Amino acid sequence: MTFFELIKNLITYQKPTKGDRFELLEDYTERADLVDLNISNMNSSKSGQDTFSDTFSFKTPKDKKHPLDVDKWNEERRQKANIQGESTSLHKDHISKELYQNQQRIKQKFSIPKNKDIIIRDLKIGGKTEAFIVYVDGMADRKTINDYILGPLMAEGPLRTEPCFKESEDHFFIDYILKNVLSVNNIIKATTYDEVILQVLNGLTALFVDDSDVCIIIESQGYEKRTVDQPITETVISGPHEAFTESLRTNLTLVRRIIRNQNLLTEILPIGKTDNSKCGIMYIDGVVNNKVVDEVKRRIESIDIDFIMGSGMLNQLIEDHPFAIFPQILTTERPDRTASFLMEGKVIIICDGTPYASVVPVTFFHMFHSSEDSFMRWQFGTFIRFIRLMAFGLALFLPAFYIALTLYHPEAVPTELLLAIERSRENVPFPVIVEILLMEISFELIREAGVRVPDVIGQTLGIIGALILGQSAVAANLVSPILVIIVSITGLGNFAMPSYYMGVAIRILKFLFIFLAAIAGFYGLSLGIFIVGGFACSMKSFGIPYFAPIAPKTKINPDVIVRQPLWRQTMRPDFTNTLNKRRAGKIARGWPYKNKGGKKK
Amino acid sequence: MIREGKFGVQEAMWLTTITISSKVFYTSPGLVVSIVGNTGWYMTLISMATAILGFTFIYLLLKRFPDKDIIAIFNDTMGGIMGFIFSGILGLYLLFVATSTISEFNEVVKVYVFPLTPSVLIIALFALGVLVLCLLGLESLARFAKLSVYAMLFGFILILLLGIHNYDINRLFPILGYGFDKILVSGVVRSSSYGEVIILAVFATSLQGVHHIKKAGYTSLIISGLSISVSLLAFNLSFPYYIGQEIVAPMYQMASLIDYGRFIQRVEPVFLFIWFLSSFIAVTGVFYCFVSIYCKMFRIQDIRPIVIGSVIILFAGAMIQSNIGVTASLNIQNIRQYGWIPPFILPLISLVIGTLRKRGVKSCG
Repeated sequence: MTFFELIKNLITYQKPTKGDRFELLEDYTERADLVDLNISNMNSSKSGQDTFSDTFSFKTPKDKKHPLDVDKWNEERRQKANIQGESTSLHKDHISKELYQNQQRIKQKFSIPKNKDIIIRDLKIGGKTEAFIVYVDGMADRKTINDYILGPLMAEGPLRTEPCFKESEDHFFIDYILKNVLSVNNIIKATTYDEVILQVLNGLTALFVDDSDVCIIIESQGYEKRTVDQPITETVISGPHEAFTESLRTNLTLVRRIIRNQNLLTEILPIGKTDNSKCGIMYIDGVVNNKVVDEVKRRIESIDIDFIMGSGMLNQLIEDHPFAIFPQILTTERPDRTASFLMEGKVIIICDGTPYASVVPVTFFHMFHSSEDSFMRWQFGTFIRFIRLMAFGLALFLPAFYIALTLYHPEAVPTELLLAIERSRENVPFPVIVEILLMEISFELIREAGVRVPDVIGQTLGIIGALILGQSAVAANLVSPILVIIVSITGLGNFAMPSYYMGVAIRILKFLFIFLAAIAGFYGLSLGIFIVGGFACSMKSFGIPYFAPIAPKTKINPDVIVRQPLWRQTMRPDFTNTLNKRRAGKIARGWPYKNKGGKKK
Repeated sequence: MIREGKFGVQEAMWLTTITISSKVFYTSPGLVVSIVGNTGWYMTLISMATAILGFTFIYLLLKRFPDKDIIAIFNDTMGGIMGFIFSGILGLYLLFVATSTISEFNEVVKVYVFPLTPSVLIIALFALGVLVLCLLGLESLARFAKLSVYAMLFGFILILLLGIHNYDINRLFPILGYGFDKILVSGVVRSSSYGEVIILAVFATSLQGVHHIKKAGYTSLIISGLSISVSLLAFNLSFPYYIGQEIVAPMYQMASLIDYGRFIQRVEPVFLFIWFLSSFIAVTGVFYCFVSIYCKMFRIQDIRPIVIGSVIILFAGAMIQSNIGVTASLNIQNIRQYGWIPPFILPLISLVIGTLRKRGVKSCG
């Protein structure tokens, strides 16, 4: 875009280009309210969606055919040509019966001999039939290849002695190998090169056999990976102490180990075009609203980027408002928390390569929840949530509030406190705004440096921060002692945020509020609250308003700010429009109403 | 079609309530005291009852045209030209209310909070807030109103409760003030204080059905009436009527008189946030309705380009007022005196003509 075009676009009217935003509105699936299902009862039924489609039939208007205009006609022709092109290319990509041709093709695809990572090993099955295996060195487990693939294939046995395999019976031969020779648990057959290449890159071993147009893909992944460890950013006192790792399979297993239900579905979708990375989408069929699942898949499938290195990048590509400062997708490194979100009817996205699960849709209030809230008694959980909300307020507004009070509204400060503030500021040569920016920027520097420095010198950094920037700055009359307290409380408030991304958003917004308070005191602060609040209220996370269930008001949820007792949390959140709203029986704990014998009192 | 978003009863109700009630923070209570003495607290209930009657006409009109807003209804019942004129009068009324409110806000802020700050900065910052929220849309504004109302209600009740030590029951007597006839007439005329309820009819299509408008309208009028009445009662209890009529911002004054021990002495900060936020919401709500009416009148599909130009008009309109005397005695007095005509009488005329011309649905069987 040239400079003149930019200016022209700024001053001329541009039609909005975005289509309708996805909104999760109430529809016929809301009738699921009427069905008193429980997750334990869902095992018998296949899925909530099927139940509904069986129960209710909906008429859709028949599509009428209209004459196409030229553009549409051209578009259709182009699409048809593309489909034909794809089908022919697919045909070309089929595995050949010629072993030599297959090997050449594989070498060409993997750029062998330039590419040293790919190993091609020729062999003779049973000493008779020519074959070769392909695998990525380091991705595949050598022991599995040696002991359970090469060993049985080349060993003395029926393959050498029985002359029953005719040349025409290649599929029978492949099936024989699958059933009788290879003692590996997961084996699949592939017919195209693309399929083979993708699997080999994932660490599996491909076996090509002469005179067969089918390739055997053998499970042999054996790359190095981190073991399940303790969470780093979401530590709790009570509750499980395990976190996700970088391996997608391990992460999916960690969740499945908690929710042992056949309705927990996992779909694997490719995301990166060049790096062939993939992500897993998890949801509980019959609980989750299928529109959300479809929307998640639609967004992920629409991504056209060569390289996605985990959930952090993926989240940026699928979130509703990329320019908004508040996070719209929640990330967690805890399998237990992920499981609880699944039970609430959320969709989980786990990417290969990052130890985090992304949760959608979420609201503002989810950012203040921690898995510990549910493990503790409800009074403690509620108390801690109030502390977090207070921490949010302090982290966001305290420095700005201090500036507004000292610069514009000193009359509102009690006399003794005002005198104390003024006494402490007596020798400071800077105005309050410079003083506070000095301290806040120093604090941000310490925090950023703290992330980068090795653990060994972490303590040193703490001493530098506490002594030099605190004590020394006060002693040098660069800042007032009261300001050190203000900045420290602000920092503590920020650290109390369970969501790291919300914490970062607060850190940035804090500076905006400082600026507004310096311009116009409480008036500027109110203006900031109005504008930022308005922006936040306009946000949606996968069709759900950001401040649901308060604005807009939906049915009372017993787990928003006040964490009510578990036995009162009988329903799933209304705003997620889950297919199965009820999560507990009408009387979640029956014992107070029954005698020891089981009879009703 | 203009996309104003969808929102529920509660959002609409609180948006309307805040828009109506925010005037207790300005010069209005002082004017009420100068007109009816110490009886403002129940005079406003008469105004509320009159406004409820006026809203009934609006509701009946909307009921005849269930899927239309007031602009479309004016066009349907009165014909193109008269409908255009009626819509124009309503739009101008809302623009006048918005500019006068900003101007009043500016003057009161200058008197109490920022005496040295130039008006242009105060009004420009205000206009910036209005601009951003108008661009974000009515849905966002309604949600913000719903979200912030809890904090505002808490602060409002806190100020009223903390001011108890200044209350003197004897200040309510004589209970009939300057005479019941004056109270009754003023009560009916000052139903204009509740005229902002018309905004529900402007964004009627954003609500899910006429029954939601009915619920939101009546509830917001009752809550506004009660909150204005309670604040006027507290004001009458705190200051004798001859002092009260001199006070420019009574609620601010009440907050500054709070004194408990050596530490809890002044709670203006609490009050300032309520005051500022409610003013932002009120003006944005009214102004958005003006822009919406304008776009509907001229069949403009996209509201965004109009907002920027209209905000400049709003800014200029607010800057025109020379001083607080002009603002209070001319604008606010005129709005209170004749402000009931556009929101209540125009829909009534439209209803009568619509009934005579047999337009719309007769009943909701």
